[in-house]
Amino acid sequence: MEGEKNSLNIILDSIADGVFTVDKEWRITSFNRSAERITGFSRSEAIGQYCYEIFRTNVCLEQCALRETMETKQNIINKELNILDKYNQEIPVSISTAVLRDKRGKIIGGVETFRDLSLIKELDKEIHEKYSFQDIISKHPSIISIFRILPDIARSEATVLIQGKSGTGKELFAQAIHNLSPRRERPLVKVNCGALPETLLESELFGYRKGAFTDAKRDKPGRFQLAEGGTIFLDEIGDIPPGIQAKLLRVLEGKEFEPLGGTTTLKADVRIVTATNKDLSKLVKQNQFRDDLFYRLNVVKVELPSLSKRRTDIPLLIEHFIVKFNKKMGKEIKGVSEEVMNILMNYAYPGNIRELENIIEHAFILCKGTHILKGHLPRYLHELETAGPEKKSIQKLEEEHIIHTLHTCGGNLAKAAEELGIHRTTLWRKLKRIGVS
Amino acid sequence: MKIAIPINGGRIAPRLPLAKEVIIVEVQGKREVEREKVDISLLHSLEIPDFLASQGVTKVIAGGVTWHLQEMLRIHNINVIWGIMGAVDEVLDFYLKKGLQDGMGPCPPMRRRRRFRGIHGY
Repeated sequence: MEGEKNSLNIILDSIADGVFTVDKEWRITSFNRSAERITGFSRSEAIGQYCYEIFRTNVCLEQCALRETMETKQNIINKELNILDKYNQEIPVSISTAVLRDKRGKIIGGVETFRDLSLIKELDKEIHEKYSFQDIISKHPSIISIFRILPDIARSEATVLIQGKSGTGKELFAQAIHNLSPRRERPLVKVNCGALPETLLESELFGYRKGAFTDAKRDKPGRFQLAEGGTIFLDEIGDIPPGIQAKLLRVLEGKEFEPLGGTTTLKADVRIVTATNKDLSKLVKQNQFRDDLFYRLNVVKVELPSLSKRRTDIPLLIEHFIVKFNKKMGKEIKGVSEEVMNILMNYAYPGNIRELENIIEHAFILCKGTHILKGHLPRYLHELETAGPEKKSIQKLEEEHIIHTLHTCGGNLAKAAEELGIHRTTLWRKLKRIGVS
Repeated sequence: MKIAIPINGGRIAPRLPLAKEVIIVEVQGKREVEREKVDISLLHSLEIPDFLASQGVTKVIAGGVTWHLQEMLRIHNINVIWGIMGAVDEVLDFYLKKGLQDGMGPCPPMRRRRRFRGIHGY
């Protein structure tokens, strides 16, 4: 009997995961070497203590996994939570629990195994930091090159025109420019120029004086006044009517404007960032947009590619939205199935990133498990998967992207690896797999 | 001096934010003069330092407390003794008689068990 116990202890001490057992009173009865290493408590300190006073998780007492297992007799596998080690450091761990029975099958306690996820979380964080900038997630070379110049753009006082299809994240970029600018302590005022009729837009932008029109009972400051010292973001700038275009040009040229019904001129110390999903130069040619205003707005132009042109970002964005909705909805969804990933990688996304976000949100509402499955996606995507003419696996897309990049870099491995944002040896390994020498 | 002891049941809560209640004890010299139990279950963990400071607390005797929360308590002029386990009365009694140290663990401390080596020694 003593020999058996010793053998068991040797086995437990040789495994990399922490393991402890408890009796029915929640007192620790065994504590292996990895448990000592991860928690900082020695075996002699732990044995005999209540498990929740040694293995101090963020869900102890209320949502204890071991208690749940003891009550339901169901094992819990790989539940992620964090513990506080002996020295008050928070350590992310993945835990699994099971009941302990004696030879006659009677429950005598429980066993909990746990794996230190610090390194994995650290790597996740590193990857996330590498591919994120002011809430914008991307590893696509075209966006990375914008990340590089964005701080310089922000520091300047230049007017910025952000061009991109609907849902490509124009507002996020405007926010990033403001956050990185010397004006960040002052307000960022956002106006959707396409959402308001001409008269309302004019009074919204420039404000009005009492008596300017029938309902103007008192003075009302416009958005330019509210943005004083800060930034104004004019979204859908291509939709503003000609009358307001002239007034806006005056603000850009002379930094001044007059409220509706006002006689005095007001100064506007406001940086202007604009965005559009239209091709403004085309509108100029069609005489729908003033050319002088276009040149004033087009000092610095940031062009955002549509999501279908940066497909390598799709898995990264899916992960980002999963983290976001897990927090928002209190769920623990870990990812999407391979089938779902294939569907999402091959879809055209006319609504761009916003559409992808909506798809994930839809799936979150329906998903009760740990992975998003095809049935959780909106119905129009189910049909696409079977009928999609350009269905490609992630691997195939990756191969095409690598070969394309290698080609554009003239076969230079180092340059291609840098462009792809991967290590040269990783590229080498991938090329080997593809069969390119 | 007012001491706060975050608890769960009759024992010190393993982590400060897991405490449902806090015992606030007024101490004069080495004597307990008043004791009050306060429900803190509706407070967010980051609100606890401000709340305790508002109650005149200058010391907390607790189990696990993240460094961030310790720092917040210090900003509110609250000194923390962390890493204490045990029943509230025993911990308080020990503190008043002998004092407590960070990371002390079970309180009163466990006696070291001597390993039985047989009557003839080795």
